Amino acid sequence: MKFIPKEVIKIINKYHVKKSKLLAVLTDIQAKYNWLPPDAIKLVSEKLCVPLIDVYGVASFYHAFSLTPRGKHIVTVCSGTACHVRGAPIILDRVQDQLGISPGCTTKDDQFTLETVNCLGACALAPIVVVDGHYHGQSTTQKIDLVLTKYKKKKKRKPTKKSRKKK
Amino acid sequence: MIKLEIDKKEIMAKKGETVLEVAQRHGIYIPTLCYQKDLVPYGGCRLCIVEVKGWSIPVASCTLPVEDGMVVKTDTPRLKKLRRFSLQLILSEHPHACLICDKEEECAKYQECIEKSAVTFGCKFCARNGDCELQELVEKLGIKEIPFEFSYRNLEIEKFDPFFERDYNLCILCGRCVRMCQEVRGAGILDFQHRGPETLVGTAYNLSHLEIGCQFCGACVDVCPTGALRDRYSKWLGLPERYVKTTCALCNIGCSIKINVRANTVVSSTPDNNQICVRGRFGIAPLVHHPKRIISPMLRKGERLVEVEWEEAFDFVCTKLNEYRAKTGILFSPQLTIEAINSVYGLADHLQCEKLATTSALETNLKPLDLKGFRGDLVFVIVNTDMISDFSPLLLKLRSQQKIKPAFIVIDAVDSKLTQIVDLWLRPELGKEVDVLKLLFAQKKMKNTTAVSTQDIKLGKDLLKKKNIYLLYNPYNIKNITVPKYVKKIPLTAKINALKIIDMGVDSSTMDLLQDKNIDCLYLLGTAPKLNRKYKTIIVQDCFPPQVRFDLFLPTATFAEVNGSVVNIEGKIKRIRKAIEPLGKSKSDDWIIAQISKRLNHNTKNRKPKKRKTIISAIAKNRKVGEKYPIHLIVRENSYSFRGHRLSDLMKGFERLRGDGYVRVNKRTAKKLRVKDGAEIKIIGRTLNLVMPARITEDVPENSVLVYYHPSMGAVNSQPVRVECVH
Ligand code: SF4
Ligand code: SF4
Ligand code: SF4
Ligand code: FES
Ligand code: FES
Repeated sequence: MKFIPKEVIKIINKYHVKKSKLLAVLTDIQAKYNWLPPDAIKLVSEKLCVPLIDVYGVASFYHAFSLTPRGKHIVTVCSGTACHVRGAPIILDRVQDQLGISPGCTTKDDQFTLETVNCLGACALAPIVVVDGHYHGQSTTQKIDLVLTKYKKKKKRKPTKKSRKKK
Repeated sequence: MIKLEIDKKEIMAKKGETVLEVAQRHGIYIPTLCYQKDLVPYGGCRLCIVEVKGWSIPVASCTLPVEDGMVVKTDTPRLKKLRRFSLQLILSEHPHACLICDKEEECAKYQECIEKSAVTFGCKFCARNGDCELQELVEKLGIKEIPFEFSYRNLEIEKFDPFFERDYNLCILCGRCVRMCQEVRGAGILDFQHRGPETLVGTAYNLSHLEIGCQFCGACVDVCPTGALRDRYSKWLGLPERYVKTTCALCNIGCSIKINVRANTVVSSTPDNNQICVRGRFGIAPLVHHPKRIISPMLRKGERLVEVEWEEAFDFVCTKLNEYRAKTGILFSPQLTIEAINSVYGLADHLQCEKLATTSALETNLKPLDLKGFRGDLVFVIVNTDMISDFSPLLLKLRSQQKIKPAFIVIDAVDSKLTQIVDLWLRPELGKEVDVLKLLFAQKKMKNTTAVSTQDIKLGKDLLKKKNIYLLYNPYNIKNITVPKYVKKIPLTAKINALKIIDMGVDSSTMDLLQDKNIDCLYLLGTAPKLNRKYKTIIVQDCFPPQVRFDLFLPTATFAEVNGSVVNIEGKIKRIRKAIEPLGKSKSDDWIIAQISKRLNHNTKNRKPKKRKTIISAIAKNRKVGEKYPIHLIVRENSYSFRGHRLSDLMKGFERLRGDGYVRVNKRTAKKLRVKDGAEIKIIGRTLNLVMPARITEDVPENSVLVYYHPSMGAVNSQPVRVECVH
C-alpha cells in the first residue's frame, strides 16, 4: 500500500498530536501499512515534535514494528525448542520452498513475509505456524501446503480488504 | 541533612543525593562506567554496586538515593567478584586482546609480538590507548582473563563525517553520548536502536551526522569512555602532556576552554566543565597549526616577496608610517586581545590618524548581557538569528538555568537547526519579520500580509501571554526592529570584544574608510576587505595570507599563543593564556605594535587612548524586488571566521558543515534558473557583482539566495538581485 501523508496525519490527530501517544500512533500506522515507511516516521517526528532518532529508536526496539516493507500476509514459523524437536525445521524448509524466500524476507509480489520466532508460548500445539494471526497447530507439511494455497488463492479473489477490516 | 555510613565513615548528605555522589565527594572510590556528572543516572553497567546493610542483594549506587541511617559498604570480596563479572561481560563485546595479554608491558615498550592478535582486537591501534576508562578499570579491578566468547560486531567504521569518527565496534553501550546529546545539548541526534544483543548506538536510519543535523559540538566525543567516538584531528597526535585553561576568542561568548598541548603543539581544545560549540572544540588546533599560516615577516621587494627579519620589517613600517602619518587608515579585526586593541588605539592617536575602523558589526545600544537577569516565566523571541550555529552555549544556558522551562519562538524566513527544536517557528515572507513582530504584539486586529498563518500568530500570542518577553536578534541580520516597551531587546553580535570597541569608539565604518580618498597607506590588522582602488602602501598584520596585494606582512600569533584578555558578550573580562610559544617568528599583536610605537618614539604604556565617536554608516533602504532584480539576496553575519578568514576556507570540516564560500539557492528557484549544485553563479545587484559557487538547499525561501558576509565581498547587504549562471 502506498504511503499517503494525509492518512498518517489523520492517525496523529486521532491521538490529539500528543507526544505520549507515540506508541499508539506507530501501532496504527503499522496496522495500516504493515510496516513503518520512513516518510511516515519523519512525519510523526515532525508533528509530535519528537526527534527523529527517538521515533526510530522506538520503532526499531519493538518487534511489533517493521522498518522494512512487509507482505500482505505474515507467516511466522516457530522455531522454539518444543517446535524444533517436533519438526519445525522441516516445516520451515517447506514454507521456504513454497514461498521462495528465506526468513525475514518478503516475496517479490509483496504478498508474503516469512518470519521465525522463538516460542509462541503454546508449545503443546508444536510445531506451530501462524499466518496472519491464525494459529495452525500440530502442523505437517501437507497441512501447511493447504494453508498457504488458501492464502495464495485469496489474493486472486481480492477479498483481503474486507477480511482485514473485520480484524 | 541525612546521616549515613559509608565504609565505616560517618557522612552527612543532602536529601536527593545519590550514594555515589556522596562517596565521590568524600574521596571514596567506587568504580563507574556509565555514570557521568551532570547526566541523569542510567544504571546500566552495574560496576558501581554497593552493599547496604539489611538488603539482601547489592544495588547500583549511582541510582541509589541516600537515606537516613544507611550503612553502606563499597568494597567487599563479594562486590569485587560481581564487579569483575560485570566488566568481563562488558568486555566480551569489546575488543580486549591487549587488555588481558600477558605480554602487554613488553608490547608497549618494544612491540615485541604485535602480531599476536588482530589489530582490531587490541588497544595498540586505538586512538584512546592510554586514556581509556576501560583500561583503567581492567587495571583497578584486576581482570586477567575473560571467560566468555568474544563477539565482535564487525561494523564499518563511520568515517564520512567531519571532525569526528565513530567505531561502534568499541562501543560498550554506556549511553553517555546518548544522554549528553539529548539531555544537555537537546539535539537528539543519537539514541539506542534495536534491542538485545543487536542494540546499537547511532543515528536514525544510520544517516550521517551531517545529514541528520548534528551540531558537531563534540560533547558526545568528550564523554565517551572508550575509543568509539574520536576526534579526527588529534587522533594520532599522541596524548596531551598538559593543558592550559584559557578562553576561546572565536566568538562573542568567549567560552572557557582547555587547550591540550603536547610539546609545542596544540593537540585539541576541550570544554572546561561547560558546553562549547564546534568552533571551540574542533576549530582551534587545526587553525593554530594550519599549513597556510605565515610565520615570518615578508616584504615585497620589486615583484617578489622576501622573507625578512623583524628589524627590517620594523624599519619599513616606521618609514612608511612616518611618511604618511595621518594619511594612514587602520582597519582592525575585533578578534584581537584587549591589550592589542588598546595599543592599536594608542598608535592611531600618535599618528593622529582619524581613520580607525573595525570589521565588527556594531550597534550602539549594545549592553552587557546579564544572564542572571532572566527570571520567572520567560519567553524568548529570536529573530533572524541561528542561535544553534552561532550561540549554542548561550542558548543552552538560557534553557537550563531556569526553574520554569522558557518558551522559544523563532521568526525567520530561513530554516536552520534552531527551528526544529523551538516551540514555535513563524516563517514569514522575506523582509516581513518586523511585521510578524507587530502582529504578535498588536492589541487590535491587524491585516496579516506576512504569509504566517493567523492560527500560528494566535499560538504565538498565547505563548507571549503574561510572561517576561525578551527579543534576541543579531543586529547585522535584521534592522529597524520596533517592539513595545515591555519587551526587552537584546542584540547579539557574533564578534568578541564588541563591547570594548563600542566603548572606545571608531571613526568610521569599514566601507567609509575604504572610500576615503585621502588615505595613502592601509594598515590592516587581521582583516582583508575588498579594495576599490590602489594604495601606496599596504601593511598586513595577520596569521594567514590575505586576499589583497600587500607590501609587508607581519606574522602574528593566534590567541592560543599569547597572553591577554578579551571581553565577552556578558561584559566579562576573560583571560587568554599562552598555551604554546608563538610558532616560527610570529609574535603577539601587542608586541608588534609596541615595537613599532617604540621606534616611532611613542610610549604605549602610560597613556590612555582617547575615545572616539562611533559612527555607524547609514542603513541602506529596503528595496523591493522588481523585474530587473527579481531575487532576494539575504546577507547574514558570518560568525564562523577568524580575523576575517572564513573557517570554511581554512578547514575542510567547516567547509562541509557550513560551506560559507557558497551561495545558498532555493531548490525550486535553482531549477527555474537552471543552476546546478556546485556551479558558479553570478549575483548582480545595483551596486554589486559577486561570483560564487552555488549550493542548493531548501533552507532558504523561494526566490532568494543567501550568503554569509565576508570582507572580500565589499559592501553588500540584503537587497534585490539578479542571478545568472556562469558558463
Ligand atoms: S556532536 Fe553534539 S549534537 Fe552531534 S551527536 Fe554529539 S552531542 Fe549530539
Ligand atoms: S559511543 Fe561511547 S559514550 Fe556512546 S554508548 Fe558507546 S561507549 Fe558509551
Ligand atoms: S560559542 Fe564562541 S566562544 Fe564558545 S566555543 Fe564556540 S566559538 Fe568559542
Ligand atoms: S517452542 Fe514453539 S510455541 Fe514454544
Ligand atoms: S555507574 Fe552505576 S550502573 Fe553504571
